[in-house]
This record gives sequence, C-alpha cells and structure tokens, in this order.
Amino acid sequence: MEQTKAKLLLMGRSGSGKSSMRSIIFSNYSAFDTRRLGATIDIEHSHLKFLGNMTLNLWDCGGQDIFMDSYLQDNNETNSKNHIFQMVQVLIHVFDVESDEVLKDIEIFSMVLQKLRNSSPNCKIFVLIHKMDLVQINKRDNLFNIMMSKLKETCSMYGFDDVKGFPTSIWDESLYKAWSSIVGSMIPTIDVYRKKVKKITELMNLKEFILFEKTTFLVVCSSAEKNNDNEYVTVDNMDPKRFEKISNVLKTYKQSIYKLKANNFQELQIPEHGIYIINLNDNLMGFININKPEWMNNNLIEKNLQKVKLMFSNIEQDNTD
Amino acid sequence: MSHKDYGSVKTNNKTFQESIVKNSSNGSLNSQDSAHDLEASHNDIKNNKVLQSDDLELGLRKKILLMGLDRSGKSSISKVLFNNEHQSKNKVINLGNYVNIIENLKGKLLDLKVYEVENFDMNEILQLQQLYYNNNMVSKNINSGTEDINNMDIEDAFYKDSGFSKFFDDVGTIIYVVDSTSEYLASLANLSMLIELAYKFHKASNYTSDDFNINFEVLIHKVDSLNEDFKLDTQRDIMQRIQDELLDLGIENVAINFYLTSIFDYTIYEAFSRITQKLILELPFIENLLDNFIMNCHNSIEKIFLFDINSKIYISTDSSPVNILSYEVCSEFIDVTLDLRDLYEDENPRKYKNKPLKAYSRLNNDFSIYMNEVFKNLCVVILVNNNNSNEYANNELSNTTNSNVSNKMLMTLIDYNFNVLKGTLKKILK
Repeated sequence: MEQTKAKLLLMGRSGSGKSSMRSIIFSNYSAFDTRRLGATIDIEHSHLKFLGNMTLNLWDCGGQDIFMDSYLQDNNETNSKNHIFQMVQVLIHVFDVESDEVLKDIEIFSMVLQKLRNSSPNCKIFVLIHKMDLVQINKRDNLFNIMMSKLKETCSMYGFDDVKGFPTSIWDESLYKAWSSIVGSMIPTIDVYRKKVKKITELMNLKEFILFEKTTFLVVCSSAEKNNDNEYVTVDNMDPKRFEKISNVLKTYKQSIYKLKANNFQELQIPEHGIYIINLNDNLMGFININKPEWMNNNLIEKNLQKVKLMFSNIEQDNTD
Repeated sequence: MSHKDYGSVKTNNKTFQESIVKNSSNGSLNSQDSAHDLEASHNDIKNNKVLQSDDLELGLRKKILLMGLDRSGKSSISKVLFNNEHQSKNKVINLGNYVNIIENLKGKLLDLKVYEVENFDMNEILQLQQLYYNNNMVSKNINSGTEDINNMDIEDAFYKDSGFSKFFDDVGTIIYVVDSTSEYLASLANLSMLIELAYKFHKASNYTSDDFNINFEVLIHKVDSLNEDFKLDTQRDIMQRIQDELLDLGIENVAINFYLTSIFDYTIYEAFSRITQKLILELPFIENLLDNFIMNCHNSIEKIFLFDINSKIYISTDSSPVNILSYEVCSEFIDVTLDLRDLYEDENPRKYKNKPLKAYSRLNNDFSIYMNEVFKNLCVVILVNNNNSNEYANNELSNTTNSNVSNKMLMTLIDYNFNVLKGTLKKILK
C-alpha cells in the first residue's frame, strides 16, 4: 500500500492556542483539559495516521519569539533549521484574536510566507482566527472579515492566492469545521469516497450520509456536499452546523465509554428516528439518517447497512489495486 | 414591646400562611398540579394536554426543601439538575419579610417538589418567637392577671399557631447545603437551629408520636476545590459538630446524612438520586422488578438503571452495588441520544415528541448500552455485557456474522423483557 505523507506546519505566536487545538483534534482532549498544557518548546512532531494510508506529519512549532527567530533566521551555514520550511504541503497559521500586537503577528506571518515561497511554493495556506469565543457575538463577523482581507493581501504579496480562513474556538464546533476542511483538502482519494456516498444516498433514499474519520471524528465527506467543493448544499430546515455538532457529540461519547475500557464503538442506533452510526472500516465511521424510518422494515435496514459496510471494507483494496 | 408591634407581625404571619397554603395546594394532587401549570403559562397548555393521558407519576407526596446560607450554592445546584426543564420559571413567593421561597420546578414524572428557600435566617424567626412570647406575656398579664404563666405553654402555642408550622407540613426532606470552602461554623449553627425548630414544630403539632420523619440531608458542597484528605477531614469535622450540637439540644431520632458534593462532577447527581429514592414508596417493588429483569436475561446484564431523563437522577437500580463510572456512562449515553435526536428534530417537532426514545450502541469491547423510554421522561438504561455470546467472535470476518446474530437475539430478548417491565411499572404506578 502506498503511503502518502503530508507535512503540516502549525504556526502562530506564543499562546495563540496551537497546541490546544492539536490536542483536542488529535489526542482526544476536552477543551477543559487544555489548561494543563504548557508552552511548546521548539518543535513537537507528531505522526498521525489518517485514513489508513495517509500519514499526517504535524509540526507544532513553539511560538515564543526566541523560537520564532531561530526558525526564521537565515542560517545557511548550519542548515539545521531550514528544513522546517521544505516540502510543506499545508501551512496552518493561528492568530489570536485578542492579541495586543497584531502588526507583529502579521509581520511574522509574512516572514513565514517568504520562507515558504522559496522552499515549498505549492503549499496551501490556512489561517485560523482563534479564540473567537472572547469576542462579542455581533462583532465576530465584522472582525473576521477585516482580519481576512488584511491577511489575504499579505498572502497575495508572496504569491499565495488561495488562502482559506476560519474563525475558530475550542469551546464550540468551529474548530472541527476548520480542521475538517483542512484535512479534507489533503485526502487524495476523496473523489472515490464522494462517489460512493452519492450512490448510497440515492440507493437507500437517505436524508443524510456523512463519513467521519474514526479517531478524530473529522468530516471526510457528506451527501450534502457539492462535487469538488467544500461548499455545502443547504438542505431545507437542516441545521447548518450539524456536522460539527455530530463530531462533538460522538467525540464526547467516545470519551465517555473509555470509562468502560472501550476505545471506540461499533454502532450506535436510534431506530425510531432513523439514525444509524456504524463502523465502516478501520478508518471510517458512517452516519446515516434515513428518510421516513417508520415506513421501513428493520431487517431491510440492517441488510442495507451490512451492504454499505461491505462496500467500504473493499474501498481501500480497490485503491491499492 | 407594644401591641402595635405585635400587630405588624401578625399581618406578616397572615401573608405567610396564605402563600404557604397556595403552595401546598399546588403540590398535593396531580390533577390540581397540572391545572396549576395550565393557568401558569399558555405555552404549556398543549403540552400538558398531550402528556396528561399517558403521564404517570411516582407517588411522591412530600416536599423537598433546599436550604442553606446565602452563596452556599443552592441555586447552582437546582440549575444544574433542573435546567433542562422546558417550563423553567422561578416563582418567587414572598413569605412575610422573612422567607423567600423560590418555587422550583418539579421534574415532570418524578413530581419532585423541590423548593429553594432563600434568605432563611434563623435569627429572624427567633426574634419573631421572642416577640410572640413577650406579647402573650403582656396580654395574659392584662387579661387574667394571673401570675403563673407556664413558659412552655406559650412556646408550644407559638409553634402551633404561627404560620411556620405549615412550613414543615408535608416536608419529607430538608436538604441543607454547606459551603465547605468557607467558614462553615455559622452555617452549622443555623442548621442545628433549623433542626431544633423543625423538631419542636413537629412535637407541638402531634404530641403523641415521636416518629420525627423529616430526613435531613447535608450536602457538604463545593468539595471540588478541596484535596482528597481534606475532604474527609471536613466531613468528619462537620459530622462531629452537628452531633455535639444535637446532643446539647437533647434531640434524638433525627436522621442526618452527609454527602460530599460538587456540581462539576457526578457527586451531586448521586446525592440527589439517593435522597429522592428515600421518598419513593414503591422503591422495593421496582428494585425487585429490575433484579428479575436481570435474572431473565441470561446473566448478560451488568447494570440496569431507571432514569429521570430531565434531571439524570436515577430513581432506581438493581440491588448490586452502584459503580459511579457505570452511572456516568449511562447518564452520558442519554445525553448523546438526546443530542443526536435533537439535531433533526426541528423539521417535524410534533411527530418526534410522540415517538419513544430508543437507542442502542455496541462498543468495541464486550459491552453494549441499551436505552428505552418507559414513559414520558422515565427511561431504562442497561449496560449489557456480551461475554456469553462472544467466545467465537474474535474479530474474524467469518465470525462477525455469528456474533451479530447472537447479539441480535440478546437484543430481542431484552426488548421483550423491557415491554414486560414497562407494563408492570405502569400497573404499579397507577
């Protein structure tokens, strides 16, 4: 099986919340637990298996000025630090919305971009405006737009035109949304998944079919998604934040069942409401919501679910062939 | 003291009495109860009508008073436990100038009558007593001119006549919250005065029986900020002090229980569950039923709880000891189910309301969790251990179908037994 490796740089000033979000998404911390985290010293590497054949190589770069300076120095002699900016697929830059020194933040951001232009010009840029919970609700959109237009300007100066930004906070679902689309943009076989999801949704006449990655509960793709785009079709009356909410709920559930020494669950069903969450294969969980569950025979649903499982257990073999 | 002074006290007493009467009529009968709700808010009218038909209530006749000094954490407790209540409104009833009772919401099924008592200052009541006492002395002196007035008579008369005796009517439990992080001596003194008062009222209203049947439950609260050793020391200290006080006052036969609680973990739920269970008359029957349930399911059931969905208080469980972890998992499972259901709920709210809430989850190890709604707001949560059926299901593909089949059989069995249980519970509670 061919291993795809992707290198992610997680950068941002000291205390902006990089390690917190990493711990929540990838290490099953709750937002409350992140209080324990201290400052990151130098760089923490983590290799995360994602969707089986993909490895995320996450570099969590300590944000204190002394480290920042050392990353950004032009030390051609040693070359020890210069490898940071090589072969980067994705840069995730975190901004603290409450920061006192916005100009300094942006300055560092532009220095990072400059480095990246030289070493890995094809890299994708994501900026997260973090700690949004500290801003009043009615001011959030405005503030976010101002920040983004400024950052986009900076990016285009260095030739990175495709920038995506997200307002995030560890206290609500926004973090999942941001990371889902970051990781989704890196999955090479995403089209295969999309096709299968579409097909199943049509065949079973589903209201909704969402694929989740199993360890992180990030959304891989869903039936509400348009082709090749991260924009969602707005289905009438459905909660636009439902993906993130499901992620959150399921993650809480997963933490809860640790108490019974179970590391994950096989299935969770609420039959009267047509909600079925099933374990599809080693990497994927499927969330299925059935139209008109009261019209359906239970055995038929069970049979169908088994078929769906079979479909996805083959999917990875298909890819390797 | 002049007569005028006494007059003002009397009017206070009158309002006190009136509001108390309002209170108790509100809680005494189920039908009256819902009638009260109906007039209370227009929004609930529909709900109540729908619910009334299949709404059963456990026979809790008694009130629960939630008391404590200011800032001891009463309101946060009731918020944590009852905030899911859709008809959440705090009704402030002014009892004279002395006691403000915030009528708290009762869990619908449990019909928990929890009243939060604010500004309950024993000194004021003692002053009132003193006033009453003096006035009677004066009036008796004037009226009869006799010298031999028995102090005890007057005291008894006070306890009998004043509106406060109604205050302790129908009270099954007094929950007293002590803030463990602050200086608690004043709070304890207040508590022992409260116990004395309740005791004397009881004695005054029925001379004969000495079965003082109000449970006192002391919540040693906010213990999350104490370390483990200090917690136990505090508990021991508080228990010792109260026992000494009661000994001094000569009060016996008072049941006082102590709980270490915090709203940041499950201790507060656990404490409230235990407190509530003491008031449920049908408890032994229900417990027996649940034991039977377990026996009839091939020993595959680890634990079974009967939950009040809104407050996550467990009303009953089987007779095996409760492991707090399994309680937590079960209560969190209810939350997960509710959250997932609510995601798609707003599309068709009426239809969803009528559907029973049922969920089932199989975990990666041998456990499964099963939940089913018995009737509105009461649900059964079962921890299933599939050990028996799991011998040949060691994650091999050919065998997964087998384990699926045996798992399905077990679920069918549980479903069947659940329906039997549901029928019986309905009979008991009617």
